[in-house]
Amino acid sequence: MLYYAEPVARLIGELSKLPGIGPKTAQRLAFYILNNDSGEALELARSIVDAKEKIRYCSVCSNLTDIDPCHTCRDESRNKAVICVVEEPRDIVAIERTKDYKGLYHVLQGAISPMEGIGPEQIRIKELLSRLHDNLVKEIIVATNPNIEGEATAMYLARLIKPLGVKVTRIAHGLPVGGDLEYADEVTLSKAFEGRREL
Amino acid sequence: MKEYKAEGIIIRVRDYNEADRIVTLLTSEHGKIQAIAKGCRKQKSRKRGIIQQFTYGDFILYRGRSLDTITQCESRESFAVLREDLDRMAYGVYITELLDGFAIQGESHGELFYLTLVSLHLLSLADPILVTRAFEIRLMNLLGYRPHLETCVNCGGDLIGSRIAFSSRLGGSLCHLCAPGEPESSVCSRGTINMLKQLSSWDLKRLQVLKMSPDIRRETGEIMKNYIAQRLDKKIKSADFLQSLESMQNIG
Repeated sequence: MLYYAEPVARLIGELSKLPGIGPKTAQRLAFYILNNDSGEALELARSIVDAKEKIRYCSVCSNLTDIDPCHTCRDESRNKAVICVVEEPRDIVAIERTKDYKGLYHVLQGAISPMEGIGPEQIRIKELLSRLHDNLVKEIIVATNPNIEGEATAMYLARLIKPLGVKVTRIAHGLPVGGDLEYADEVTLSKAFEGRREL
Repeated sequence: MKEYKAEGIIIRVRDYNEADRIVTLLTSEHGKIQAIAKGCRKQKSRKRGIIQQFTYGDFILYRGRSLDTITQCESRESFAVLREDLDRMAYGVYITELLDGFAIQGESHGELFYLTLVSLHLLSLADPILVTRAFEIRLMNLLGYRPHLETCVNCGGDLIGSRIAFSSRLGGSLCHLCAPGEPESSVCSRGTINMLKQLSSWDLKRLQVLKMSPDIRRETGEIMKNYIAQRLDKKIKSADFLQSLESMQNIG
């Protein structure tokens, strides 16, 4: 028996394919869309199609962008001597929020994962190396995730890039601001000790 | 009892859903276990630092229908060196992938657990290739795939001459007379066969004393790779990464 008219069922079906959306949430979202005026629904549909059609990878840094090269790569005020290497485009957003970093970025679109069979060739390392040829870049900051894949990627990059005479640094590991020492796990705490600094 | 304790090593970690991880544990009492660590990728989770590959620790699990749930965990040893040295890490990942491939879910194997623990420990201090080869051959021994290295596996004759061979298909060394009749065998020196014997019998604590020449290193690697491939019906993915590291070193 069909509970919904076919178009509604299809909408619910499509929505429930999204991450974190179960059948109940999909149903709620579908009815929300139906109850609103058609302008809003059209706007939603259009922005999905727009984003899908206009967004591509920046030919320089591999970030998602609507213009090529992307806004960050075009920005003359940015420090061209430093490149921060991240795994995913959303990592750039996190770093930009700090407002401390003024250099350029490079998105690897993943991390080396030997056990999953993701090797150095499957992520955008070649593109990063080609950016180092003009000798403008003096430092590479590796900001991959602090898990085994991220560490493997960081060490692999260091091994590849150091012989080219470019400084390779890794972001620090440690305790979160506002955190509680008592609740920190041993590994993080020992990393925090390792990276202590003089006051 | 739905809740139980286990002493284990994390041999595989996979992200699952928004903030969970599915963990493969090798435990001393319960063998290989698949368990879910809920919320362990969240900033505030206490399990975050512990649910990492190679961690050896105590776990409290809750039995579920298909997957058990890790409710508490505490690390005994995190093998931090394996995370800070690319070569050691790559060999560590290879060892754990082999275990994941060979260990059978829920089948307790205390010796296998002990071998893994010692190997990971040695991997942090000794020559990683030597440790890996010793691990491979001992893993084969424990699983009942011990290769025949004393005499010729085909005719039972003595191994004479400097160049003999090893056949993965027959599971042992071949004398100079039988070797030509087995075209897929790998030609090797007597030193290589002796090294394999030593790797499988020496006290692991004294393993660091062993020295391998480049030729023996290459030949033992080749033999073990083929021998394992013959016995495991899936590809060891991390072997490719090891190869790319090796070729990088050769260029450098």
